[in-house]
Amino acid sequence: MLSKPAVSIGAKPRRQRFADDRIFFLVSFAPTMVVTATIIFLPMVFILYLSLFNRNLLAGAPVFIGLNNYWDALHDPVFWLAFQNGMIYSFGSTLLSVVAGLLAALILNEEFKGRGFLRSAVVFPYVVPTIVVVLLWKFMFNSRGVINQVLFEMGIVKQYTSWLGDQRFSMITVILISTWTWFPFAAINLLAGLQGIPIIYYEAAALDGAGPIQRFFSLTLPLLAPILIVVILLRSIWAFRNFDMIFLLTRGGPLTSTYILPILIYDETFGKFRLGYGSAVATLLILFLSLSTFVYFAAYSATKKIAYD
Amino acid sequence: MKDTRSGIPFVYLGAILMLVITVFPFYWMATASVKPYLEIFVKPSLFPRQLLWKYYQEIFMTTNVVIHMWNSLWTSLVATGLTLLLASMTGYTLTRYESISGELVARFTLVTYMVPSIVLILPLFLILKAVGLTDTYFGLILSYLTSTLPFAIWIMRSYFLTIPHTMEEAALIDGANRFQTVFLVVMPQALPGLISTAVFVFILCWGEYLYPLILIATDSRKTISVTLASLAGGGQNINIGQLMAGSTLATLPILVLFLFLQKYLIRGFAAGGVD
Repeated sequence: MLSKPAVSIGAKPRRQRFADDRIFFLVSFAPTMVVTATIIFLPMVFILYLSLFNRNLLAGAPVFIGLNNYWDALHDPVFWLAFQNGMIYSFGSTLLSVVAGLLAALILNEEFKGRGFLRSAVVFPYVVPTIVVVLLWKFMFNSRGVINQVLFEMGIVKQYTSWLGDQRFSMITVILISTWTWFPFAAINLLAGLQGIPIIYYEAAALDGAGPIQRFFSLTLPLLAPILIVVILLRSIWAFRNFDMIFLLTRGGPLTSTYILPILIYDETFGKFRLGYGSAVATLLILFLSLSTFVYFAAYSATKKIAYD
Repeated sequence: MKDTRSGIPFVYLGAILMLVITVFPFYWMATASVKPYLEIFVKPSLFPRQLLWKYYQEIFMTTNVVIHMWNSLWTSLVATGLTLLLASMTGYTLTRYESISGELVARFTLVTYMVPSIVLILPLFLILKAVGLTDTYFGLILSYLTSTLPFAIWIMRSYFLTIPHTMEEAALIDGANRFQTVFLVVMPQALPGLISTAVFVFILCWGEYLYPLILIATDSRKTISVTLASLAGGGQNINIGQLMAGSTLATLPILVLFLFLQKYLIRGFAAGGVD
């Protein structure tokens, strides 16, 4: 049998098929699906199941209690306190890291000596292990550490302060530290956005007599909006779900000043062995995160539309 | 063109400030690991007057830090290899097969990436325990995949979307099969993307804390993040010099990656978050 020529001009070229397409599909798709199903989907179903039981490793056999754990969680002031702290933390660190990232991106978009080096160096805080960030800043914020020494010498503080150990300052300190690690993410992405703005726009604006500040607010910021929104949403979702940073910095303390949902889940599950209750809180966290992710997708599609209009 | 002449001093000022903010903490960490106690706290010095290797000797003698670094290194490398193997093929398939909605699967992938490790760790622990994989390297590597796989699929897909189909169509006409086309034609084109994804996946694994904390019980199988955290939790006996020495050691592999693969690091970054 004669086969037709593989590509004929004008025909739909995408209809062509490799002989082993089906085998390749299986080989490339099935292993990933099996792994994902075992280590992500199965655990998620499992945690939903666990959340319906009064399962305490210290108190014998699990008892089915329906949605009681959820009812308890939603009526627990500690749950809402952790939720509120999480919102403050997420909002604060996102706001600061986006503002710092935008400033950094604006500087890196200019031409100066050593720009290439600085652009790489700025990434560094984002890629070192969380534990290194934590130990480093605990050392800097130590009650006898360099930050206290400098502030004291400058006369800004009258006495050495334990920034992480004082419940008045712990949240803002944690936010500042997380800003330091996370602003590079905003900086690099916003820089990419800035470099995508045609220079001709600026030339036109300059010809029209717009000053630097006016150009920033009426040209740069609106054109940067799509990336800005995506960065803000991703960053705030990531901050809200993050466990390592605050756990290693303060364990949620002092008292409950930095207590957030991931730490609540950890304490209930691995501290008090209330697996059922911990799982219910974990499920609520996933629900909230999924909701936020859908907002992200909606915003993403919307900004894409605006960008193309 | 840009009338920023008058702005130049501000640019340099900002640049210097940025450099200090990002680099100084690391400098302070590295120098504190070789300074005597007096120079760290009582009379702080910007430049260490002498190099003191005492803290390094101490952590080498009193902890298994070398073994733990080695564990972190090879488990991260294996996890990176596995992730890349699975994610590159799946990412490719998502962009080339019309029978599945690549967009939908990709979005679903991103949703799974949003599931935090603190949620997965308990069920994962119970499942791994049921099949006898807790306290094993294999179980640990599997746990790393929960965050690296969705991340890598998402990024690899965005790379393959940018690679034109023309070369593959040419290969098809030349009689190559899909396997040959993917491994000999497409993957070489995607090499920069593969490298930057690998760099990022390695970084994720190297910094992992919660999974090894819960899954590994035997000291000789622990990883560097857990060692450092437990060293820091030593109550009254915390030795800042030792902690900074350990932190410097944990930063070294990242520094090496950074020095040799800088270009890929930044590229992976931009692709990582914003499609």
